[in-house]
Amino acid sequence: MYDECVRAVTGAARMGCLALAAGLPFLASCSVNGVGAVAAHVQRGGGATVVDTYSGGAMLRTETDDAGFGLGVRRRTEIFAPGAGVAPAPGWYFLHVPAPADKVLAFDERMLGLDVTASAPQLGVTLGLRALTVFAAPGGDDALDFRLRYDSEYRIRTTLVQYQGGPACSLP
Amino acid sequence: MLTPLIRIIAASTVIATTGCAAPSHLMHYQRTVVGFDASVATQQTSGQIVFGYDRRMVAVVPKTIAEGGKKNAMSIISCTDAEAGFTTVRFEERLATGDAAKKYAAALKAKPQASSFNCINQ
Repeated sequence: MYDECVRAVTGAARMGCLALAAGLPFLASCSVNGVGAVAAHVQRGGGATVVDTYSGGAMLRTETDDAGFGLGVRRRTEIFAPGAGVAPAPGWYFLHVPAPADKVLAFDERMLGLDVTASAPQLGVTLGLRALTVFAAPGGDDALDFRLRYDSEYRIRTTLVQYQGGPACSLP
Repeated sequence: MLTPLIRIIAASTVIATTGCAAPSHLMHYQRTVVGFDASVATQQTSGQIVFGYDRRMVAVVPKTIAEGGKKNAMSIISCTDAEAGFTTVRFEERLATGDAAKKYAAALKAKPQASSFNCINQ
């Protein structure tokens, strides 16, 4: 009986050590709301600002439109329409994400690992690979009129055309 | 062995029945999962548990929205052309909501043969 207990404890300890060794690289890096182990690439597409954010390790997010906790690697591309906020200069940024103050018009996200999501469009837990693309998510009271083209392989070619005033301005 | 699964199902059911009511925001998205996933849609009263592979293309349009303290039907006109691969996605979204959508509708009513709302690839 004693030997069985010792074997069970040492077996569990061995598994714990293996799990810890496998998870150490992830535990060593972390980010909170885009600050920490992140790299961001800001690009200006046609009429839109495109921000790619690459993060790895443990990730804690508390923004309204991006909330949750993850452990793994993640790429999130956010498309912003030009607005009142000051858009960051194009280029690479490290250790922080210079997101514009404007509202995200659309986003495209890839996550590999464990992720607990607490923001729209779906709340829940994912273990594995998740790809999420939100084509448009305006608020119920937003008045919008736009055309957006996006290709995840050529994000610099993102184009956004905003129409002002409805049909009179888009009639041929 | 089944206990954790039952807990997840119970949690999902609770979230689905308490956290979600009639949708209040337009939401249009695609979601692909490979592995394990337990989730509920914020704009719908539905949840899912997946082991393996799942892909969804979802469009949620609220029936009513709050406008100036009153509830009105949401005005929207939209066309979407989306092509999603395993790791890539490309799309074109043409969307008008609110006053702009109402103007397009009025223009269409006045001149049904003339298309004032240029859709995809036109």
